[in-house]
Amino acid sequence: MIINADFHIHGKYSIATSKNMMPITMASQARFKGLDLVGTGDALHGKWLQLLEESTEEKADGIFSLKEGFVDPDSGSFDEGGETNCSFILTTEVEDMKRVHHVIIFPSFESVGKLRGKLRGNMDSDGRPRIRMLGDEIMQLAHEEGCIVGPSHAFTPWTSIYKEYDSVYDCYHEKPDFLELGLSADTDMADRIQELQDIPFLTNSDAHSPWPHRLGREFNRMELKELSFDGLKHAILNGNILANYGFDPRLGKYHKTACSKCYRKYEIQEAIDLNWRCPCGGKIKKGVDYRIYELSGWNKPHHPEHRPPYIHILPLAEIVSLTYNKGVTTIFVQKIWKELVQKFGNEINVLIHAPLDDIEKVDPKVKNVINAFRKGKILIEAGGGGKYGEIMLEQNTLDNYF
Amino acid sequence: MFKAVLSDSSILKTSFDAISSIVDEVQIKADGDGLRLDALDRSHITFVHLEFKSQLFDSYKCDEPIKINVDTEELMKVLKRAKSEDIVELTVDEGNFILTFENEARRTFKIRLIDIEYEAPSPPELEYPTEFEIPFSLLKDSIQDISIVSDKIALIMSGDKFIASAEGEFGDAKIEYLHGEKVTEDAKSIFSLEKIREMLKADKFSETAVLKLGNDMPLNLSLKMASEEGELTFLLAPRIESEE
Repeated sequence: MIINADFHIHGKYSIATSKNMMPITMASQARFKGLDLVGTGDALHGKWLQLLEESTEEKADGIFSLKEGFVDPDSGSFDEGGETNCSFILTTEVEDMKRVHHVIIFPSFESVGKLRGKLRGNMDSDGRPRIRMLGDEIMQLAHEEGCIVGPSHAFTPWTSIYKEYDSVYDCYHEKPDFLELGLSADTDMADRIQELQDIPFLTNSDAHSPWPHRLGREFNRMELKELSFDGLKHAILNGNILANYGFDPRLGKYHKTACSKCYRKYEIQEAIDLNWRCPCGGKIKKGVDYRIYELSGWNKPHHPEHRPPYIHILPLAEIVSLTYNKGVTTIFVQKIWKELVQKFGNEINVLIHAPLDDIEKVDPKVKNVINAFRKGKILIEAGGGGKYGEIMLEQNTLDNYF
Repeated sequence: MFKAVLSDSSILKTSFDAISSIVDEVQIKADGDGLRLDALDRSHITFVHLEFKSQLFDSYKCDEPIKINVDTEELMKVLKRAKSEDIVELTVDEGNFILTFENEARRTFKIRLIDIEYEAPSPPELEYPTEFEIPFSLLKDSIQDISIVSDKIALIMSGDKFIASAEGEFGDAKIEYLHGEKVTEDAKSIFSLEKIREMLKADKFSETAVLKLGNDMPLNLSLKMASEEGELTFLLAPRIESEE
């Protein structure tokens, strides 16, 4: 069977996360995005874990769905999606002693409970716990519980494996089960690094809110023997990922070297000359593009045979926002987004597959912009320093005049 | 402390009627000299600059520079509630922009301040070959005329004439106006009609508009109060490629 899966999100108990990040909201929003499976995120957090246990039931080994008729005690929200909702798999992100982030995918609630007991750190202070252990110790303990583990957003400048180490093996002392590319990198970039040739890449959203421009903004299309933890583990470890869907890396927050306060972009030599300190007082953070350049042995990507295609996508809500020049979370934009995904089933259908004539019947202006997206005619101003890249239509802007 | 009192609410209303259709959030900077706002729309096509000098207000006090970040739609909703005879008072507290309308009753509205991550750029200084004044109403009518045939407009300076024209699928339109300025160079640029229409919502700001035009250059449209106590300027990127 073929599924679309996003393994890395955060629940409402994580810092700077929407209070709407609850299983009930995530399940229905994920379906609109075309996702079949979503990571629960934050599975090691006590309250989140309790909420997951109360609100879901196991429908296959390690795969959970919302309990029928479940009513969220805090919000009063109830499940309207029924069979159409997506499924969940238990996942978390943890931060190690070196401030390196790792994604862990669990086979069961039991394994979550056991790992909670083994890891050193306060599991309940934040959805993404800080563990007083190193990456290799965390991986070893997680493997003992049958989990699969890999680095989160591997090249970003604050909390990634490659901000700390020059090799994944320096961190784990063995091959990680996967590597999450992060929003600021894609396969073409990462496949310039020799040591990653035999490591599967995952593309996940790291969403902190269920808004449609966040959840599922990156996801993995996979072929599974069966929808179960084992089926999934087998697919990841054996290269049965059919495609990585994700941002053009220029849209990521850390693609270019830039100041983390005023977001001014810097050439690398300029940043070095300034000792990584912007005249505004902010820290200059190394861009993912440059970090990959430093790590790379090849000037061009060397895609191994098992590497699936990387398909660049944009959140549809961002496209509607661009079309009408209105904020992506406004009711106006959300209404058009919903109309489109309801008519065509999900967001990927609208973005990639639906005939333009049919989209035109819903909204002629959005159709023009989707056409521009499909033809690669949307311009991108690269992000950096913590600021997302921006999309623009191919037309004259005032940028040349400032 | 910041407090500004204005006996004419229409100037705020008309300014933000235009601004709110261009940008959805703004940072208003207040200091001892007055209020100032610079904003660039999301698609980087229109830039807006607003300035109210302290003398414009019936009373004005600002001890230290402050930044007021607001959602323009929310601000506009409140401004729409102001009546022409109301006295408007602007203040801030820790988390709100406070507008009070005083007449028979004292009506207070608080608009939550928002986080704005990025500062808008300052207006660029461009050198234009032509600059001339045109009655605001005539400009607005011309735009209406053109909108019958097209969604694009060519603005042309040709000798002693300013020409607004468009060619549509089903017809053409052309408006000619003797501008009365000494212009040595001709100029032509094409713009989105919809974008100009957004700017012209500020129809109570000034009776005349000052236009600066060049060849394939941004349109600079400036509205200045007769008293020179307020200015609203727009910069609009030209369209160079034809639409699909």
